[in-house]
Amino acid sequence: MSILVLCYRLLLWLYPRSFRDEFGAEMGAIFQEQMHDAAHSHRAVLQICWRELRDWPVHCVQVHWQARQQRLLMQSTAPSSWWDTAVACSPYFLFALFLSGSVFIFLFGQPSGLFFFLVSGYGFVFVLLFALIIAWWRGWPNWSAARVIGRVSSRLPAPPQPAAAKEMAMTVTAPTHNTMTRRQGFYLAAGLLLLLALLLPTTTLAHLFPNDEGDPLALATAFPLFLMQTIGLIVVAILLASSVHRWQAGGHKTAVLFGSLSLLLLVTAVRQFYWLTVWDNTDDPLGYFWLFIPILGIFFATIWLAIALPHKAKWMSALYLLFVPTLLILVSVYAQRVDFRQLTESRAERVDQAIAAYHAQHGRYPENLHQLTPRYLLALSEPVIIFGQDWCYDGDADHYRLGYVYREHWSDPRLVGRVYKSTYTATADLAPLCQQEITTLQARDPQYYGLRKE
Amino acid sequence: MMDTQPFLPLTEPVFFILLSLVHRPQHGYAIMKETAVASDGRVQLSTSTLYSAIKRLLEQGLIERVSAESGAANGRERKAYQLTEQGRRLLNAEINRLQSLVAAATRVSPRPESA
Repeated sequence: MSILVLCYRLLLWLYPRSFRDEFGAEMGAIFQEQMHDAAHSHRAVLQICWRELRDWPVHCVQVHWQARQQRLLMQSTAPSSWWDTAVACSPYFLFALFLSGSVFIFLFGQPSGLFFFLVSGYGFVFVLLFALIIAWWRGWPNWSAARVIGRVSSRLPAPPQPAAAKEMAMTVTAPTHNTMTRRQGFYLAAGLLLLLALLLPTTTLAHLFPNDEGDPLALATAFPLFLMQTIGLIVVAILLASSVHRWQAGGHKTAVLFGSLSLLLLVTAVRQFYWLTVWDNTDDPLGYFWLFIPILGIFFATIWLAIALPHKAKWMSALYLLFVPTLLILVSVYAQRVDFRQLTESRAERVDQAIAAYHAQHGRYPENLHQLTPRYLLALSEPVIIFGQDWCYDGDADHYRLGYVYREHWSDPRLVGRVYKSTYTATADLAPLCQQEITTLQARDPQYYGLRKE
Repeated sequence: MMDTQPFLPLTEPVFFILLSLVHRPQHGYAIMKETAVASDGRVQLSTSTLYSAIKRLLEQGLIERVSAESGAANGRERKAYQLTEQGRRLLNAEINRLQSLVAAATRVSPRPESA
């Protein structure tokens, strides 16, 4: 019997949220009472179930249709003046401006990309901020192409709607405190999941998006990685809004939890962005172009944040809009200046020190580098020359060689095994270092690495 | 005063729902049971039929919610509904309409012979 009640409650989830909130509990309770009263007869139970199943699909569709009409009715309140219309349309205008400006910079502004990006990027940010302030001051008119939807909805058969229906439709269209509170579990789960994903090393993440091009950092791989960071930055905004809502509702501990998760997610997303930009430098770099996707995400998140935040906290949307893109731009500038060859050398030095420590304790060298972790080296950082490449290491109890696959420039297909440290005295009889890794790379992308080998 | 004509004729479920609220406010399950009794078991409302009708009647201002009462079965609060003045007028208009139909039918057709 309880299974039938559970099934019925699941069916209720298919009604529109507004209807469910208003009547769902009552409907569930009545069904439970019916089942309780009919428990003496299987026939009576079957009759009740049949009646519910027979009527449910039609009524569910009807209620959805009514809810949709109410939504359209609400959205049809088009701005009454040219000024309101201009404010309502400003996000679309700014989006178009940003899109066209970014494409222009990418195509023609490369020689002095940073200057153009900063001018247009900050120009965009300030114009958007201005529009947000005006929109805030004007009481947030309907952003969603109000006139177009108004025209469409006026042609639909709309039932006479009293004020109560409009109020109900309002709860459907705008994210309110109630909806924010209801969905907080979902936001928390999404935030945690993204946090865990973004904490993975960049090379591990890249394996999640395999591509046919052979190159692990090809656009087909890098694009989803950047998208994931962008989603992370959007979830940061959502968690921030949830935190504010919880704080205002008196749930201070939950608010702090949401706020902390939001901050952690921001830090991890920016950290991933930094490393992908560093890796991007090792190949044909796209540079500031990678900022386009996250900033686009931030743009949409800001609009959402400005609508979702309570009135007195709407300033946080402006802060988010200024702080996060600035942080990304600074990180991008810094990451592009990183000398990845020097970084590789310093990482090799750390590995070498760990090998020496291992030797000092065991009286022999390790058979492979994984024996160093986690006691002598917490994690084995890879060389930053070619994405997805590990260290080259061979050795026995008394000798070892440590090195990595090296190329002079990303456009140079000649790969060499560079020795960082060797304890062998006579190297003439030894095979070249990294031979196996180079062969694997050439097999993976023969047109690129194999072309000028002969 | 509300014009009742656009709402007439009432569907059978709506008629019986309004009828069940004539004497006192009722909660959902009581409305379902009273409807079944009043219609001699012919109209058996499902919860979805009942609540989509209640939603519409609330929006049209024909019924209203009154203070919640404690449910007998599980101790939960449940909402009761009562007729508004407009709803009562509409129900009377429908009863008058049905009575006039019955009167017309009685005048025209002969009474069925008793067995």
